[in-house]
Amino acid sequence: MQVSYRWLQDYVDIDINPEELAERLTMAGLCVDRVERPWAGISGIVAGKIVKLEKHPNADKLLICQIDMGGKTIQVVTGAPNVAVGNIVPVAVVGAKLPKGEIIKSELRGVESFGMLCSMSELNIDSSAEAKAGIWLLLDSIKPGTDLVSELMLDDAVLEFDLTPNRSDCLSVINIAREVAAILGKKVKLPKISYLESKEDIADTFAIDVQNKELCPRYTAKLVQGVKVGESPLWMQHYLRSVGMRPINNVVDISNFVMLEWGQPLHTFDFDTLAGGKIVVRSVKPGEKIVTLDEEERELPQNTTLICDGEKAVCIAGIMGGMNTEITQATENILIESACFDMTAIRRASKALGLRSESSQRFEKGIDIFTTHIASERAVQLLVNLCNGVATKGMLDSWDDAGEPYVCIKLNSAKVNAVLGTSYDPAQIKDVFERLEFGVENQGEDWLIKVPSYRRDIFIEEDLIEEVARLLGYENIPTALPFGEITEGRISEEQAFYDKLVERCMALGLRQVINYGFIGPKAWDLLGLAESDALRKTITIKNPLNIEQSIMRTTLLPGMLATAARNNSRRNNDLAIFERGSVFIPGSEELPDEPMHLAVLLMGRETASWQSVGREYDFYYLKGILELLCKKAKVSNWYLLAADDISFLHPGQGAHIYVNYKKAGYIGQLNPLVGKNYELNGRAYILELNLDLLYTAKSSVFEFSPLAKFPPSTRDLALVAKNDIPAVKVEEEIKRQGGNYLKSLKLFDVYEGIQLEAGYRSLAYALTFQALDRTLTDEEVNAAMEAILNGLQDNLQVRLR
Amino acid sequence: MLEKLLVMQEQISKELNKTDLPTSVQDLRVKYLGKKGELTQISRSMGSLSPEERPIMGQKVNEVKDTIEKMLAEKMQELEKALLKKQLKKEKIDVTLPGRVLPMGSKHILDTVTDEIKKIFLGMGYSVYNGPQIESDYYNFERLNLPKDHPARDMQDSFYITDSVLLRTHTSPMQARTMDKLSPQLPVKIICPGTVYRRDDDATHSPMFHQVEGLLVDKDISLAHLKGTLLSFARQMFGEDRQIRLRPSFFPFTEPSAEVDISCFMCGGKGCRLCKNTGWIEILGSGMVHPSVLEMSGYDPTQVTGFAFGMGVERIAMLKYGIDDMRLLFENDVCFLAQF
Ligand SMILES: [Zn+2]
Repeated sequence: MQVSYRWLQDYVDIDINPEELAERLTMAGLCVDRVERPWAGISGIVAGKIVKLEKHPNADKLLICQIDMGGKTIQVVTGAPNVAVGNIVPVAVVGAKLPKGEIIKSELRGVESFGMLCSMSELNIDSSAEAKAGIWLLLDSIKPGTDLVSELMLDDAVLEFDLTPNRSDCLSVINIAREVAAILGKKVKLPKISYLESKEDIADTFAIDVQNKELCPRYTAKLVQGVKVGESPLWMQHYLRSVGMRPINNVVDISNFVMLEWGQPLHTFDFDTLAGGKIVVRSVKPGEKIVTLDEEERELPQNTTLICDGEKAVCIAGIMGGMNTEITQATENILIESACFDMTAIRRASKALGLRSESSQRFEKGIDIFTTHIASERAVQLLVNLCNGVATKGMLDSWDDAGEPYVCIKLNSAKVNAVLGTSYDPAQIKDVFERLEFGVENQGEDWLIKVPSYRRDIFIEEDLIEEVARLLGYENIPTALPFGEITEGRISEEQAFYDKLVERCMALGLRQVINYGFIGPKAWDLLGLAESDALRKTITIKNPLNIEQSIMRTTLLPGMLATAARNNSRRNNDLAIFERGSVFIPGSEELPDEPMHLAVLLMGRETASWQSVGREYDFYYLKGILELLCKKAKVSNWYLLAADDISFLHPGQGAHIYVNYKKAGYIGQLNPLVGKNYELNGRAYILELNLDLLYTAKSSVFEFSPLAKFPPSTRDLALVAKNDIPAVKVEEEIKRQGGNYLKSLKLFDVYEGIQLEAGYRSLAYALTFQALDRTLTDEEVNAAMEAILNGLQDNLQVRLR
Repeated sequence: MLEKLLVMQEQISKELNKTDLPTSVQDLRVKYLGKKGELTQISRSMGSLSPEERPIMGQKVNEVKDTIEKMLAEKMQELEKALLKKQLKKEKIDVTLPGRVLPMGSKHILDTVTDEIKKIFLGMGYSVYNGPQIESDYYNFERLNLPKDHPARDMQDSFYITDSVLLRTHTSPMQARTMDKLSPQLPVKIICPGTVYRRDDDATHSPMFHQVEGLLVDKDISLAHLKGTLLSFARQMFGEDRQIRLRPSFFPFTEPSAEVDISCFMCGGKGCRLCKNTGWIEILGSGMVHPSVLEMSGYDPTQVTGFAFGMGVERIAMLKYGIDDMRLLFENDVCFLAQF
């Protein structure tokens, strides 16, 4: 909503400048985004009457005008094609300032010129091609010599509001003026509405028939005859333009002006085009169509409310009128519709039609049913005064249920102070409601506040408390801290667990990324997932912004790969990143499961320095990260099972991660084919882990190992094993046979090559034996070593190298 | 014999002076003190002395031996020192060369800011609760006083899954969810960080973003308490000399409602580009919990009151770190990530 400052001044005496007013309004809850002064600096524009026109002797396209400036005549050379003797035009005299620059005395091909005739666009009033095409021809009633800067209100400012949805009442200049009055402590001056009426009564010849009172609680019709369609007065044109509307003709302008003034949309019909002597308000019939004012034929969606005459549809209720009954230059008799339509119905119809108008916007948000007839009468008054119309007696009104135009709410001043934490005096509080022109009645300890019907945002005591807070100033609310019982802030154990893993990832040199929760279905094909793959079972967004953000992720992988690709395309080829985030798994409940996942991606190598190229990332680097994460998580029951069936992993370098015997993720080299699909610049290593499963497997006790006081014995063990025996089996066997004193074993070398038989490899371990209570003897250690070797030989056919 | 000893001592001293290698010192030790060394020879010949002379001579031999040992040790030490000095000289490095590049992780700026917010409110006794990102219309709207067809639903353009399920448009449903869980317990003192979604995508909006919701429900909670709490937050988050300003606003689930501004930390309130010359920066929305919200959540609005607030993590991160395009936060360019 935009409002002209001058327009507001018609209803309330404002003694502060527009900028100050904007600040006061904002602090009282009507947020003003901007104050614009589109005409600031324009000066020296005077109305002139063209008294003589002659061709320029030296230029075909130029005219020499003699202009009566109200007493003195000046000569102006112009190139405008549309002027004629007798026209009243805006003249920028010598010294005038326009947005384009200052006007100086000039000479055009030997003829002197003492000013410039202006078009609307030169005055920043209208920038359309039509306005640019010629000089602005003003109403004949304007006297030559009139100072147009004041007449056109070029010194005005425009306040641009950003209204909150509850204050749709302020889509009315009068209601904004009421706010201004309350803020400044002034009285609002409403326009006085009176006019003469003819003797014949509209009810004698015309009728209205509202078939569904729910869709249309109130419909009024008023007839004005003998109207002369023409141009609106300059002030009205200015007001309309200041709020962003183009003047059309006086009848249409009056209907728009009244809508803006009162917030009640009106519609005007050319009365003579209405057939059957009546207006019918009904729901649309299947297949019904109408050509609207914008010359489009529209098929009407179900449940649209239609305004019809005795024969045909003439208007889409509350949204847009029909061409067939439009006001034209020839129109003489006008039927004014002022009605109240159901907000939800209008909202739905407007949405279904894809058609929003100033009118529908107001109906959607709800209007004041007690203002409906006032707006109609205001329009009649203007049609009579500005268009020479004659009002026909009486108003047709479908509303018979005129209750009280206010809502009563109880208010207690102690409660006001309790909710706000203030200590306002009851008189101060009462004053707020008097400024707002709300009724205040004493009722024992309480007040009964009568809220006027146009304040459709106030229903309960708390709403009234907000009125007190905002009008006495939020800046006057004191600052205090809650004094209740001391509470201890807690974070859930689960959340703390996730946070700990994030910290560990960072300690391991990984950078955290955050990807969108939604992805595109194309990802599944890029990953080479089978049609039946469970990951493809996703939650789908009904109204996505685009297909790439249309399904909820079931894995963090697509986001990680897209991030890697984006970085690769910017020459960031060395990546060590992780993401912690939810994935979305549809189930039988209304809401899906949202397990927390962790993904890690490595590409390239550790950062190089002048001393060394960084270590290259590989599977074991990534596995090292997994090991440390599990250790931090205090999860010991986890293992990898090699897998060649994960489509997006390298068939020889991939594994499922099992936690507590449940599949909890995967780890491996990204299948280079998938890498190619994502246009990655190299091999990538990726792991993903379900943190919820990890959480359930964590041990909750911390087992401290006492430090040994007696020296350990170490033994190296170089073994030869068949290639296809997983190292983990060898390790398990050593641990099983090693006895209680085997404190640790560490793989320090893996060898395959010419020194060994084909199909075999060597694994070298460093074993540490230690007892807590004494130094072990050689014999004890030797016995353990022998048991280990025997076990390896017997169970795995692994021998000493 | 004594003479012999003194000559020998003199002799060694001379030879040592000429020596400049530790091995030569070793050789000298063997030559004089070894099993077949000269001193050994001399002491062996003591057998020919008279029993009176023998102890005197023996003492003399020991004295000379000690002196020689000392001379040898000193020389040895001197040589080693010189050698080390020479070696250290060779080991000189350019200390201005850059250090080794160690692997270094980083937290995403949004998580960092969320953690900061969490920490501040944990310190004030708020507990952290989390909730689902895919939410029912019931919790996302209805329980927050936003029935179907409420015009204020337009404020939040939503991504729908079905007619009754959507991607939550704010963290506010956690108010209702947590009160459901805790009712009738008092106080309810929680913050809820989380991911939210709205159908917007430009330099200042992302279709996915993050919020932190706060809620305090107890007996006798007032708007003044909200102001005090948020002032304390603003100062911890943005600096001790920050002021806050409440402006009336509208949220369907709070009444009265307030938009909260902090005094600009760039210009201190004088007006600059960051605060668009107003001296104030909007950081969050807040208000007193609407009685209907309390009632739907099992609390009697005539007995308890509460305040709630919600802040955008992206907005706070962008303000605090001077980031001008929200999309940077989700591109995850490592050059961007590495800056925080
Ligand atoms: Zn500033």
